[in-house]
Amino acid sequence: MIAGDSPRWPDLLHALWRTAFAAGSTKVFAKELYLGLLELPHVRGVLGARIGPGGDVLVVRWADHDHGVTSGPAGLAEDVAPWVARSARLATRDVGQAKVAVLGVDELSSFAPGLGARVRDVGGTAVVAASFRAAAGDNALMLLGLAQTPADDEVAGALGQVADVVIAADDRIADQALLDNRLAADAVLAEVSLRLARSLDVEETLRAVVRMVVPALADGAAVHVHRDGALVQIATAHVDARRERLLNDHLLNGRWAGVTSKDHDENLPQPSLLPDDVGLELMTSAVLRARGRVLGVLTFFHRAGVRRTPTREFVRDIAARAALAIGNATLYGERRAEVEELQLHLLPSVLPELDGIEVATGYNVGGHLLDVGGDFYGVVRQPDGRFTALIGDVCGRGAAAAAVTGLARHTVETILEVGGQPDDAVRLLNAKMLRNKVGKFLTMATVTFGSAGPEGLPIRSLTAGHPPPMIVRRDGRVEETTCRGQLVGVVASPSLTLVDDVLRPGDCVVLFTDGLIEARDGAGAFFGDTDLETTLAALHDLPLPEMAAALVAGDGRYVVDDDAAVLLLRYRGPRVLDVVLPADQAPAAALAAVRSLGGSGVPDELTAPPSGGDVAVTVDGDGSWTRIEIRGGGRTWWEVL
Amino acid sequence: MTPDAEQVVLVVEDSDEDREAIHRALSRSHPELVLEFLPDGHLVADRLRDTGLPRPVLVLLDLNMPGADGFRVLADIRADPAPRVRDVIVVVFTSSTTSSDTDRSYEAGADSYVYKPVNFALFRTVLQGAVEYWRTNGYARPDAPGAAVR
Repeated sequence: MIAGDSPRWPDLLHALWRTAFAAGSTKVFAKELYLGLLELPHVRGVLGARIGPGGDVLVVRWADHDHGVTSGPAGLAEDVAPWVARSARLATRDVGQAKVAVLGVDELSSFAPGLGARVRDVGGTAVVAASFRAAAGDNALMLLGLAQTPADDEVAGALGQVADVVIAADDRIADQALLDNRLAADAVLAEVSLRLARSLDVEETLRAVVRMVVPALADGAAVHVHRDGALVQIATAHVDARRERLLNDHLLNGRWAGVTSKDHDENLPQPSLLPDDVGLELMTSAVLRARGRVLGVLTFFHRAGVRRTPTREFVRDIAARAALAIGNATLYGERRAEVEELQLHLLPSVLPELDGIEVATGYNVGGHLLDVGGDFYGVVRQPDGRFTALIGDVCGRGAAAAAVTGLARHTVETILEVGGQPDDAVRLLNAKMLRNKVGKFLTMATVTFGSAGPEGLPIRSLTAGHPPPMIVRRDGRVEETTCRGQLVGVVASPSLTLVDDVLRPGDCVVLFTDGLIEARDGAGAFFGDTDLETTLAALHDLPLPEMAAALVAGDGRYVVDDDAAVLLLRYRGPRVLDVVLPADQAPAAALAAVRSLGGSGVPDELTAPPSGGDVAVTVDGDGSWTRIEIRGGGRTWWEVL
Repeated sequence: MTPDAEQVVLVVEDSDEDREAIHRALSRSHPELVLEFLPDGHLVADRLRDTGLPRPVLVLLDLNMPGADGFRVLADIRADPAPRVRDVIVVVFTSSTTSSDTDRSYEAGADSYVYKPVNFALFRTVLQGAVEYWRTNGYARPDAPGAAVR
């Protein structure tokens, strides 16, 4: 029976074409191909090999009737190598796209004894071999071992047809791989860009970048950045954890070609000079450069002979994006530090010590903002013994807002310091802003504290378009003061309605800016709408600095992402004890001070937490309310009686 | 000679979409692989210990799963006394690129930590690259007895 007349061969060939054109890899149709060739007359064994441009045997498969198809059986590549070396001298003829040679097994064994033995082992006495091109500069060999020398051209013709199928499929698979590679590169760029745009943490982002390119586009990757005049290794990646550790270690210890910042070396694969154990013989480097500054080097590592390497355009593109992100993050960090420093200059560095009053402040600089905000606060001691707490907020951000902030705080504080009333100070500031055509407005609130009497400590509150001051009573009740007034810098004569209240020991005045009440929770609700009073009530017993810190942190439930200032003043009443003692003596001393006030309900002992060393003990209040605080070891224990 | 055999890859992944994507990514490029899916980390140890079933050549492990998360599963695999469980290749395949997750995975004994991208073309390339790496290294852990990295 001859091949062309075989009733099965046309069907097999047709099925092979269909399989080959749906396959994502030659492996997919290898079994069908080899078993189909075994159906040809007198065929006892089938050899397939893929040979690289340098003559290396890259892939080998063998099939025979007893064992089926086997990939890469031991020794077969070595057995094929002599054929590759001899093939140029073999007599061949063209059959389609293939060059076909026919020779007896004795001749085969004379130059490729291993291959000859394999053919003999399956009962072959002759071979028909077809060589043809494959994708990426490779060559393919299909060799049939036959039980007899073919009498005609039909087997050679069948091999020529197989060569057509393999060449077409291989080209299509190679094109698809190229397309996949480009799609992967585009996808890496897109995902890296998204990541870079989302984060200002440069090092974490660079770690993510090297993780994202391995193994999609490189077998290994590393990134170094300039820091303090030296290149510092930030991250390495390899698909194999063990080799990632080796790569990291080799790079840190200089066992490689090293980074370079020279343009002419960019993107050209070069020997990595890494030790063999990491298996990365080549590398491609890309300089990270932004705004003319070299920021670092991104390096991709590859195995020798790897087919998939990133293109020059990809390497440059990803390096440019990473560099720009580093540059932006660096500039952001510098600008952010300047903003925070300037913001602090607009606030008082020290608040005055006030008899009977405890003061605490909190300030949050907007998390994502690069301009100075206009929030300010202060406490001013006045000539007649009163003092006034003030808080304000200039509209807008940036240098202009900062200038108005400075003008406002110092104008108002100066007027108060020389004995002026808060409403006079607000009106004078208003006139000055309008006269100088400042073009901005501000809001402000003040609370002036008088002299304590038998009824308590009188206060007078003012607001000029600002959230009114709040009073948190010592029992946790929260009251908003009823003062009202128009904002500063808009109308010639703002209306201001001041209001008087009285504080009892333990009551606390709360002044804040709108950044606090406009903080939102995860559901989008404002802190100030429903929760501020509840929160103040819950926090009212805390040591005042802790209460201020909790408020500007949104009490852990609201995100304060704008500037927010908080000024808290607690009327603590007379201070009856202020000493530093060994910790074990503190509870007894505090209780003795409480008893001296003559109040009822004084406990027999205090359960203050143990603390080594000395502690500071204060007792404030009167017979109806007393607060004990014991501070030591960075912690504050308190009790309200 | 041993004929080409099918090899089992155990995919531990709770997301239906990701399981489908993994199947699509590997079915054409690695037809010799039989993908076996587990939606829950609790089932991994019993499956690996089951000598009545083929030993997987590789475990593809998601990190973030309800119940036993990937870190727990990984630690349990490496702590198992049976070599067929303890020495299996584990590739962590996760959408996280945070260095803390990478470090934790390596400390727990991951052989690979591979980023799981959103884009399918990249997803396929990454997954094929990781599987191909371990295939060419004989699906053998370098630290396991008798194994060697090629």
